[in-house]
Amino acid sequence: MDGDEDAFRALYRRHTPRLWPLLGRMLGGAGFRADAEDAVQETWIRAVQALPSFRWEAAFSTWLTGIALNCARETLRKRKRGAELSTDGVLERLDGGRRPDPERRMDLEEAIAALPDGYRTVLVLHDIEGFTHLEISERLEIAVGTSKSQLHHARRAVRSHLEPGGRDEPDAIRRD
Amino acid sequence: MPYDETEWTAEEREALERLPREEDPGRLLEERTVAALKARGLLRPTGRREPRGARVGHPAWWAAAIAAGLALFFGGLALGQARSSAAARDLVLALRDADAAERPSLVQETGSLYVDAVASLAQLRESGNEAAVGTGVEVGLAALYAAAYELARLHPGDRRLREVLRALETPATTESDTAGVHWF
Repeated sequence: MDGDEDAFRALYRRHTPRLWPLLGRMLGGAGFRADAEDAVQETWIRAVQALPSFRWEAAFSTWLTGIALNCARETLRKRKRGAELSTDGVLERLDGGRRPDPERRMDLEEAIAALPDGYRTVLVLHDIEGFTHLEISERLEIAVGTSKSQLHHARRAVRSHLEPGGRDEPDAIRRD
Repeated sequence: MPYDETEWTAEEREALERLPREEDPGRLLEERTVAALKARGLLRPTGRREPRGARVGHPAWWAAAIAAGLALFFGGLALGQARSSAAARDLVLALRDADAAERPSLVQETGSLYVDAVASLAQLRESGNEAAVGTGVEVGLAALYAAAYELARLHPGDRRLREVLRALETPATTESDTAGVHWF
């Protein structure tokens, strides 16, 4: 690419449509569009900076996704500062201002967006992006068992959101 | 058969599979990202051949194009084909690509064009020509969009500017909003 604008734009247009839904969902959906935009930009800045050391025999999209995940995680960490969030699945709560109305039926995207960060991240990577638990554990630097546990709770929480008043409320979501 | 909480049902799995895996975030984010990379010295503009006369994409050309549109409109001419408001903005977008050093003056020029458009619109409203007013609004919005766009390029991290651009990019909601719009 060698700093060429047209070459970059071609690369951007080829890969960003794939990054955008991933980052959007990881960062909480439509309500956090600005964060997702920042993450896309930061992903490309880091990618271009690191491009000289990238070995093109590897899959560029995989490499880029790794950078994007790191950007998303950093954004979530910054957002969590001062908030009482846990990533081990024991005690998590919804972000302020995004608490769902229990009487209203949510669609799937909304239900995913309303999940606590830890649950949402694992569910998006496993159930939408197709990562294995081993891959998730490596990417997020968590135990495989933690990934499985997060996914279990995430699925319960999504079901609860989709069917208010139906099955059990998710045990990990505190409606305080 | 007991309900298994840990696995999706076939219906749920289908719903998950229907979620889009690819989506275009829009042109603005691309421009913002390119601007951020250029600001860090990570990207250089691709060299372009200059056609005889003016170079398409040159800020002066862009400003001149808007000025020409205003002149045609305010001169009472409906030349050229009718275009939707979205197409008019796309045209403005297609004319962008200023060099960093030239952007501040371009902002100033587009801002001046906007002021001119508003002043002329005030006169048009008294004439009672609704179609002309509608076209004038579109031309004014195009100039406003151009100015906001350049400001966003200068300050890519400014969320207020992004909101302004997003609002201006929102399609007209009623048929009358776009009817009878003429560009140049």
